[in-house]
Amino acid sequence: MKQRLFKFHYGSKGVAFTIDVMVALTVFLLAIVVSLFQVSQAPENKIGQIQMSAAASDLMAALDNTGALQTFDESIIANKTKELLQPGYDMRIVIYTNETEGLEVGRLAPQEEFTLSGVRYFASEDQKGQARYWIWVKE
Amino acid sequence: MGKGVMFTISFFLMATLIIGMGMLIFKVGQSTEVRELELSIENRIYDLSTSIGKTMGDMLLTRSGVNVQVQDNSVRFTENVINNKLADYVADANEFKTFVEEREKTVKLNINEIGKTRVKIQPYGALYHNDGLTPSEYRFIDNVTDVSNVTVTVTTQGPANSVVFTEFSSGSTSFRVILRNPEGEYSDIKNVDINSNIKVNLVEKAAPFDAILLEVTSNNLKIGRFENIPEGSYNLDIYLGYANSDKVKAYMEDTFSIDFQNFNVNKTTKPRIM
Repeated sequence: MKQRLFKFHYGSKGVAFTIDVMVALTVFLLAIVVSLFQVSQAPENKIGQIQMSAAASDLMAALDNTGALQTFDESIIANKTKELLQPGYDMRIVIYTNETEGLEVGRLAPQEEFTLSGVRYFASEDQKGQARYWIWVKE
Repeated sequence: MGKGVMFTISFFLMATLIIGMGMLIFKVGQSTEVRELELSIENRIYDLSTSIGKTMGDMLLTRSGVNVQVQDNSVRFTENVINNKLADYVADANEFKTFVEEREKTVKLNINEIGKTRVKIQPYGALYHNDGLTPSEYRFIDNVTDVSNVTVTVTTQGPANSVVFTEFSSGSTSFRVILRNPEGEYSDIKNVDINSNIKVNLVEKAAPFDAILLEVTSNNLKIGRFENIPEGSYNLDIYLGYANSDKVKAYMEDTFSIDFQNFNVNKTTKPRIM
Protein backbone atom coordinates (compact mmCIF):
# COMPACT_ATOMS: atom_id res chain seq x y z
CA MET A 1 0.00 0.00 0.00
CA LYS A 2 1.31 3.37 -1.02
CA GLN A 3 2.09 5.81 1.75
CA ARG A 4 1.17 9.46 1.25
CA LEU A 5 4.02 12.00 1.60
CA PHE A 6 1.74 14.79 2.80
CA LYS A 7 -1.47 14.26 4.57
CA PHE A 8 -3.48 17.09 2.99
CA HIS A 9 -7.16 16.79 2.23
CA TYR A 10 -6.62 16.91 -1.57
CA GLY A 11 -3.40 14.95 -1.56
CA SER A 12 0.04 15.97 -2.99
CA LYS A 13 -1.25 16.94 -6.49
CA GLY A 14 -2.58 20.30 -5.29
CA VAL A 15 0.76 21.23 -3.70
CA ALA A 16 2.70 20.35 -6.85
CA PHE A 17 0.24 22.31 -8.96
CA THR A 18 0.51 25.38 -6.69
CA ILE A 19 4.30 25.31 -6.65
CA ASP A 20 4.31 24.89 -10.42
CA VAL A 21 1.97 27.87 -10.88
CA MET A 22 4.12 30.01 -8.55
CA VAL A 23 7.31 29.15 -10.41
CA ALA A 24 5.63 29.78 -13.76
CA LEU A 25 4.25 33.13 -12.55
CA THR A 26 7.64 34.19 -11.20
CA VAL A 27 9.33 33.38 -14.51
CA PHE A 28 6.52 35.07 -16.40
CA LEU A 29 6.66 38.25 -14.32
CA LEU A 30 10.43 38.29 -14.54
CA ALA A 31 10.23 38.04 -18.32
CA ILE A 32 7.73 40.92 -18.44
CA VAL A 33 9.83 43.14 -16.17
CA VAL A 34 13.02 42.48 -18.13
CA SER A 35 11.22 43.04 -21.44
CA LEU A 36 9.69 46.30 -20.33
CA PHE A 37 13.01 47.46 -18.96
CA GLN A 38 14.80 46.67 -22.24
CA VAL A 39 12.07 48.25 -24.35
CA SER A 40 12.06 51.42 -22.27
CA GLN A 41 15.86 51.65 -22.21
CA ALA A 42 16.41 51.28 -25.95
CA PRO A 43 14.83 54.54 -27.20
CA GLU A 44 16.10 56.44 -24.18
CA ASN A 45 19.70 55.54 -24.98
CA LYS A 46 19.20 56.34 -28.62
CA ILE A 47 17.87 59.82 -27.99
CA GLY A 48 20.80 60.50 -25.69
CA GLN A 49 23.25 59.28 -28.30
CA ILE A 50 21.68 61.35 -31.07
CA GLN A 51 21.88 64.41 -28.86
CA MET A 52 25.49 63.68 -27.92
CA SER A 53 26.40 63.11 -31.55
CA ALA A 54 24.70 66.36 -32.61
CA ALA A 55 26.41 68.27 -29.79
CA ALA A 56 29.83 67.07 -30.94
CA SER A 57 29.17 67.73 -34.63
CA ASP A 58 27.86 71.22 -33.90
CA LEU A 59 30.82 72.03 -31.71
CA MET A 60 33.33 70.86 -34.32
CA ALA A 61 31.52 72.86 -37.02
CA ALA A 62 31.64 75.93 -34.77
CA LEU A 63 35.36 75.44 -34.12
CA ASP A 64 35.87 75.21 -37.88
CA ASN A 65 33.63 78.16 -38.77
CA THR A 66 35.15 80.46 -36.14
CA GLY A 67 38.65 79.58 -37.33
CA ALA A 68 39.69 78.06 -34.00
CA LEU A 69 40.75 74.76 -35.57
CA GLN A 70 42.84 76.59 -38.14
CA THR A 71 44.94 78.22 -35.41
CA PHE A 72 46.42 74.84 -34.38
CA ASP A 73 46.71 76.40 -30.93
CA GLU A 74 45.88 74.03 -28.08
CA SER A 75 44.76 76.71 -25.61
CA ILE A 76 42.54 78.54 -28.12
CA ILE A 77 40.83 75.30 -29.14
CA ALA A 78 40.48 74.17 -25.51
CA ASN A 79 38.97 77.49 -24.42
CA LYS A 80 36.57 77.59 -27.34
CA THR A 81 35.56 73.98 -26.66
CA LYS A 82 34.91 74.79 -23.00
CA GLU A 83 32.87 77.82 -24.05
CA LEU A 84 30.75 76.06 -26.67
CA LEU A 85 30.34 72.49 -25.43
CA GLN A 86 26.94 71.73 -23.93
CA PRO A 87 27.06 71.14 -20.18
CA GLY A 88 27.14 67.51 -19.14
CA TYR A 89 29.52 66.39 -21.85
CA ASP A 90 33.26 66.05 -22.06
CA MET A 91 35.32 65.93 -25.21
CA ARG A 92 38.74 65.15 -26.60
CA ILE A 93 40.04 66.44 -29.93
CA VAL A 94 43.20 65.34 -31.73
CA ILE A 95 44.32 67.31 -34.79
CA TYR A 96 46.62 65.91 -37.45
CA THR A 97 47.92 67.99 -40.34
CA ASN A 98 49.98 67.29 -43.42
CA GLU A 99 52.92 68.92 -41.66
CA THR A 100 52.64 68.20 -37.94
CA GLU A 101 52.01 65.35 -35.52
CA GLY A 102 48.81 65.17 -33.51
CA LEU A 103 47.81 68.14 -31.39
CA GLU A 104 45.80 66.88 -28.40
CA VAL A 105 43.07 68.84 -26.64
CA GLY A 106 41.18 67.37 -23.67
CA ARG A 107 41.69 64.27 -21.56
CA LEU A 108 41.27 60.67 -22.63
CA ALA A 109 37.76 59.26 -22.43
CA PRO A 110 37.15 57.04 -19.40
CA GLN A 111 37.11 53.41 -20.52
CA GLU A 112 33.81 52.59 -18.81
CA GLU A 113 31.92 55.48 -20.47
CA PHE A 114 30.00 55.13 -23.72
CA THR A 115 31.90 57.29 -26.21
CA LEU A 116 30.94 58.58 -29.66
CA SER A 117 33.65 59.58 -32.11
CA GLY A 118 33.89 61.40 -35.43
CA VAL A 119 36.21 63.12 -37.82
CA ARG A 120 36.23 66.47 -39.58
CA TYR A 121 38.49 67.87 -42.30
CA PHE A 122 39.52 71.48 -42.74
CA ALA A 123 42.16 73.63 -44.34
CA SER A 124 44.09 76.65 -43.16
CA GLU A 125 46.09 79.06 -45.26
CA ASP A 126 48.97 76.62 -45.61
CA GLN A 127 47.95 73.34 -43.98
CA LYS A 128 45.35 70.64 -44.41
CA GLY A 129 43.90 69.32 -41.17
CA GLN A 130 42.02 66.33 -39.82
CA ALA A 131 40.30 66.74 -36.45
CA ARG A 132 39.30 63.51 -34.69
CA TYR A 133 36.99 63.85 -31.73
CA TRP A 134 35.51 61.77 -28.95
CA ILE A 135 32.56 62.81 -26.80
CA TRP A 136 31.08 61.23 -23.67
CA VAL A 137 28.80 62.09 -20.79
CA LYS A 138 30.72 63.83 -18.01
CA GLU A 139 30.99 61.81 -14.79
CA MET B 1 -12.22 18.74 -18.96
CA GLY B 2 -9.68 16.88 -16.90
CA LYS B 3 -7.25 18.59 -14.56
CA GLY B 4 -4.32 17.20 -16.52
CA VAL B 5 -5.52 18.73 -19.76
CA MET B 6 -6.06 22.12 -18.07
CA PHE B 7 -2.62 21.94 -16.58
CA THR B 8 -1.03 21.07 -19.91
CA ILE B 9 -2.83 23.91 -21.71
CA SER B 10 -1.87 26.45 -19.02
CA PHE B 11 1.70 25.30 -19.03
CA PHE B 12 1.82 25.45 -22.83
CA LEU B 13 0.43 29.01 -22.91
CA MET B 14 2.83 30.16 -20.24
CA ALA B 15 5.79 28.61 -22.03
CA THR B 16 4.69 30.29 -25.28
CA LEU B 17 4.50 33.66 -23.52
CA ILE B 18 7.93 33.24 -21.98
CA ILE B 19 9.46 32.26 -25.33
CA GLY B 20 7.66 35.21 -26.97
CA MET B 21 9.07 37.58 -24.38
CA GLY B 22 12.51 36.14 -24.89
CA MET B 23 12.27 36.69 -28.64
CA LEU B 24 11.01 40.23 -28.14
CA ILE B 25 13.91 41.09 -25.88
CA PHE B 26 16.34 39.59 -28.36
CA LYS B 27 14.84 41.54 -31.26
CA VAL B 28 14.77 44.83 -29.38
CA GLY B 29 18.38 44.32 -28.39
CA GLN B 30 19.34 43.53 -31.97
CA SER B 31 17.50 46.48 -33.49
CA THR B 32 19.06 48.81 -30.92
CA GLU B 33 22.49 47.61 -32.00
CA VAL B 34 21.59 48.16 -35.67
CA ARG B 35 20.27 51.65 -34.90
CA GLU B 36 23.47 52.49 -33.02
CA LEU B 37 25.52 51.36 -35.99
CA GLU B 38 23.34 53.32 -38.40
CA LEU B 39 23.61 56.35 -36.18
CA SER B 40 27.38 56.20 -36.04
CA ILE B 41 27.62 55.82 -39.85
CA GLU B 42 25.13 58.62 -40.39
CA ASN B 43 27.10 60.80 -38.02
CA ARG B 44 30.35 59.99 -39.78
CA ILE B 45 28.89 60.73 -43.23
CA TYR B 46 27.43 64.01 -41.99
CA ASP B 47 30.75 65.13 -40.51
CA LEU B 48 32.70 64.10 -43.59
CA SER B 49 30.33 65.63 -46.11
CA THR B 50 29.83 68.94 -44.31
CA SER B 51 33.51 69.44 -43.54
CA ILE B 52 34.88 68.36 -46.93
CA GLY B 53 32.20 70.37 -48.75
CA LYS B 54 32.88 73.43 -46.65
CA THR B 55 36.65 73.14 -47.15
CA MET B 56 36.30 72.78 -50.93
CA GLY B 57 33.93 75.75 -51.05
CA ASP B 58 36.17 77.88 -48.84
CA MET B 59 39.17 77.06 -50.98
CA LEU B 60 37.32 78.14 -54.13
CA LEU B 61 36.18 81.40 -52.56
CA THR B 62 39.42 82.35 -50.85
CA ARG B 63 42.16 80.95 -53.08
CA SER B 64 40.93 80.63 -56.66
CA GLY B 65 40.63 84.34 -57.33
CA VAL B 66 36.96 83.84 -58.27
CA ASN B 67 34.62 85.79 -56.05
CA VAL B 68 30.96 84.79 -55.93
CA GLN B 69 28.32 86.84 -54.16
CA VAL B 70 24.68 85.91 -54.00
CA GLN B 71 21.88 88.06 -52.73
CA ASP B 72 18.25 87.01 -52.95
CA ASN B 73 17.66 86.44 -56.67
CA SER B 74 20.92 87.83 -58.01
CA VAL B 75 24.49 86.67 -58.34
CA ARG B 76 27.77 88.47 -59.00
CA PHE B 77 31.02 86.93 -60.23
CA THR B 78 34.27 88.86 -60.09
CA GLU B 79 37.65 87.65 -61.27
CA ASN B 80 40.88 88.92 -62.70
CA VAL B 81 41.42 87.68 -66.22
CA ILE B 82 44.12 86.34 -66.63
CA ASN B 83 43.83 84.84 -63.16
CA ASN B 84 47.29 84.03 -61.85
CA LYS B 85 45.93 82.45 -58.66
CA LEU B 86 44.51 79.48 -60.53
CA ALA B 87 47.63 77.33 -60.64
CA ASP B 88 48.16 77.59 -56.87
CA TYR B 89 44.48 76.89 -56.27
CA VAL B 90 44.59 73.71 -58.35
CA ALA B 91 47.75 72.53 -56.55
CA ASP B 92 46.16 73.31 -53.19
CA ALA B 93 42.96 71.44 -54.05
CA ASN B 94 44.92 68.40 -55.19
CA GLU B 95 46.92 68.49 -51.97
CA PHE B 96 43.65 68.45 -50.01
CA LYS B 97 42.37 65.55 -52.14
CA THR B 98 45.48 63.51 -51.37
CA PHE B 99 45.31 64.41 -47.68
CA VAL B 100 41.70 63.25 -47.37
CA GLU B 101 41.87 60.17 -49.60
CA GLU B 102 44.96 58.85 -47.82
CA ARG B 103 43.04 58.94 -44.53
CA GLU B 104 39.51 58.06 -45.65
CA LYS B 105 39.35 55.05 -47.94
CA THR B 106 35.61 55.61 -48.40
CA VAL B 107 35.98 59.16 -49.77
CA LYS B 108 36.85 60.19 -53.32
CA LEU B 109 37.22 63.80 -54.47
CA ASN B 110 36.38 64.14 -58.16
CA ILE B 111 38.28 67.31 -58.95
CA ASN B 112 39.86 66.64 -62.33
CA GLU B 113 38.36 69.86 -63.69
CA ILE B 114 38.71 72.02 -60.61
CA GLY B 115 40.89 74.49 -62.54
CA LYS B 116 37.82 75.52 -64.53
CA THR B 117 36.33 77.01 -61.33
CA ARG B 118 32.86 75.86 -62.29
CA VAL B 119 30.10 77.42 -60.21
CA LYS B 120 26.50 76.38 -60.77
CA ILE B 121 23.69 78.77 -59.95
CA GLN B 122 20.53 77.03 -58.81
CA PRO B 123 17.62 76.88 -59.37
CA TYR B 124 18.36 78.73 -62.62
CA GLY B 125 21.07 76.37 -63.93
CA ALA B 126 23.63 78.99 -65.02
CA LEU B 127 27.21 77.72 -64.98
CA TYR B 128 30.21 80.06 -64.60
CA HIS B 129 33.54 78.64 -65.74
CA ASN B 130 36.69 79.18 -67.73
CA ASP B 131 38.05 77.07 -70.60
CA GLY B 132 40.55 75.16 -68.48
CA LEU B 133 43.53 76.31 -70.52
CA THR B 134 46.69 77.77 -69.04
CA PRO B 135 46.54 80.70 -69.13
CA SER B 136 42.79 80.88 -69.45
CA GLU B 137 41.69 84.02 -71.29
CA TYR B 138 37.97 83.39 -71.59
CA ARG B 139 35.14 83.27 -69.12
CA PHE B 140 31.78 81.68 -69.83
CA ILE B 141 28.38 81.61 -68.25
CA ASP B 142 26.33 78.82 -69.81
CA ASN B 143 22.56 78.87 -69.73
CA VAL B 144 21.91 82.55 -69.04
CA THR B 145 18.11 82.45 -68.99
CA ASP B 146 15.29 84.07 -67.01
CA VAL B 147 17.43 87.14 -66.30
CA SER B 148 15.86 90.58 -65.97
CA ASN B 149 19.12 92.47 -65.93
CA VAL B 150 22.75 91.81 -66.70
CA THR B 151 25.66 94.12 -65.97
CA VAL B 152 29.14 93.35 -67.20
CA THR B 153 31.91 95.62 -65.94
CA VAL B 154 35.45 95.38 -67.22
CA THR B 155 38.14 97.38 -65.43
CA THR B 156 41.44 97.63 -67.19
CA GLN B 157 44.64 99.46 -66.41
CA GLY B 158 45.29 99.98 -70.10
CA PRO B 159 43.51 102.13 -72.67
CA ALA B 160 39.71 102.30 -72.98
CA ASN B 161 37.88 103.70 -75.96
CA SER B 162 34.22 102.73 -76.27
CA VAL B 163 31.50 100.15 -75.77
CA VAL B 164 29.61 99.15 -78.92
CA PHE B 165 26.71 96.71 -79.28
CA THR B 166 27.31 95.24 -82.74
CA GLU B 167 24.48 92.69 -82.67
CA PHE B 168 21.36 92.21 -80.57
CA SER B 169 17.57 91.88 -80.78
CA SER B 170 15.34 94.06 -78.67
CA GLY B 171 13.70 92.48 -75.68
CA SER B 172 12.99 92.86 -72.02
CA THR B 173 16.38 92.13 -70.45
CA SER B 174 18.34 95.19 -69.40
CA PHE B 175 21.90 94.52 -70.60
CA ARG B 176 24.52 97.03 -69.44
CA VAL B 177 28.18 96.89 -70.37
CA ILE B 178 30.82 99.12 -68.75
CA LEU B 179 34.47 99.52 -69.70
CA ARG B 180 36.52 101.32 -67.10
CA ASN B 181 40.10 102.45 -66.81
CA PRO B 182 41.82 104.94 -64.46
CA GLU B 183 41.04 107.82 -66.81
CA GLY B 184 37.36 107.26 -67.34
CA GLU B 185 34.38 105.06 -68.01
CA TYR B 186 32.53 104.05 -71.16
CA SER B 187 29.22 102.26 -71.00
CA ASP B 188 26.13 101.37 -72.98
CA ILE B 189 22.83 99.81 -72.04
CA LYS B 190 20.29 98.06 -74.26
CA ASN B 191 17.07 96.20 -73.66
CA VAL B 192 17.81 92.89 -75.33
CA ASP B 193 16.22 89.54 -75.98
CA ILE B 194 18.52 87.29 -73.95
CA ASN B 195 17.59 84.35 -76.17
CA SER B 196 18.96 86.12 -79.26
CA ASN B 197 22.57 86.52 -80.32
CA ILE B 198 24.27 89.48 -78.69
CA LYS B 199 27.70 90.87 -79.50
CA VAL B 200 29.44 93.74 -77.76
CA ASN B 201 32.91 95.20 -78.39
CA LEU B 202 34.63 96.73 -75.39
CA VAL B 203 37.14 98.64 -77.48
CA GLU B 204 40.43 99.34 -75.78
CA LYS B 205 42.30 100.70 -78.79
CA ALA B 206 40.58 101.68 -82.02
CA ALA B 207 43.72 101.48 -84.11
CA PRO B 208 45.13 98.91 -84.17
CA PHE B 209 41.84 97.35 -83.06
CA ASP B 210 42.17 95.76 -79.63
CA ALA B 211 39.01 94.82 -77.83
CA ILE B 212 37.45 92.55 -75.31
CA LEU B 213 34.56 90.76 -76.97
CA LEU B 214 31.37 89.83 -75.19
CA GLU B 215 29.06 87.38 -76.93
CA VAL B 216 25.84 85.66 -76.01
CA THR B 217 25.01 82.76 -78.30
CA SER B 218 22.16 80.34 -77.54
CA ASN B 219 22.02 81.73 -74.01
CA ASN B 220 25.73 81.04 -73.47
CA LEU B 221 27.77 84.09 -72.52
CA LYS B 222 31.44 84.26 -73.45
CA ILE B 223 33.91 87.05 -72.80
CA GLY B 224 37.58 87.35 -73.73
CA ARG B 225 40.15 89.38 -75.55
CA PHE B 226 39.91 89.63 -79.29
CA GLU B 227 43.64 89.54 -79.70
CA ASN B 228 45.30 86.33 -78.70
CA ILE B 229 48.11 88.17 -77.00
CA PRO B 230 46.80 89.53 -73.70
CA GLU B 231 47.79 92.99 -72.60
CA GLY B 232 47.84 92.12 -68.95
CA SER B 233 44.93 91.31 -66.70
CA TYR B 234 41.61 93.07 -66.48
CA ASN B 235 39.03 92.78 -63.75
CA LEU B 236 35.78 91.19 -64.78
CA ASP B 237 32.56 91.74 -62.87
CA ILE B 238 29.39 90.03 -64.09
CA TYR B 239 26.06 90.64 -62.37
CA LEU B 240 22.97 88.57 -63.17
CA GLY B 241 19.63 89.64 -61.75
CA TYR B 242 16.91 87.04 -62.20
CA ALA B 243 13.34 87.79 -63.15
CA ASN B 244 11.92 85.20 -60.74
CA SER B 245 12.01 85.63 -57.00
CA ASP B 246 13.54 82.20 -56.28
CA LYS B 247 16.59 82.70 -54.11
CA VAL B 248 19.91 81.95 -55.72
CA LYS B 249 22.16 79.21 -54.38
CA ALA B 250 25.68 78.60 -55.63
CA TYR B 251 27.28 75.16 -55.86
CA MET B 252 30.58 73.84 -57.12
CA GLU B 253 30.33 71.46 -60.06
CA ASP B 254 33.23 69.43 -58.71
CA THR B 255 31.99 66.64 -56.50
CA PHE B 256 33.11 64.27 -53.79
CA SER B 257 31.66 60.88 -52.99
CA ILE B 258 31.43 58.90 -49.79
CA ASP B 259 30.99 55.18 -50.27
CA PHE B 260 30.44 52.82 -47.34
CA GLN B 261 30.13 49.67 -49.45
CA ASN B 262 29.63 47.33 -46.50
CA PHE B 263 26.56 49.26 -45.44
CA ASN B 264 25.29 49.99 -48.95
CA VAL B 265 25.58 53.73 -48.41
CA ASN B 266 26.80 55.90 -51.26
CA LYS B 267 26.57 59.67 -51.36
CA THR B 268 27.84 62.07 -54.01
CA THR B 269 27.80 65.74 -53.13
CA LYS B 270 28.37 69.04 -54.88
CA PRO B 271 29.72 71.46 -52.29
CA ARG B 272 27.45 74.42 -51.70
CA ILE B 273 29.35 77.69 -51.75
CA MET B 274 26.60 79.96 -50.51
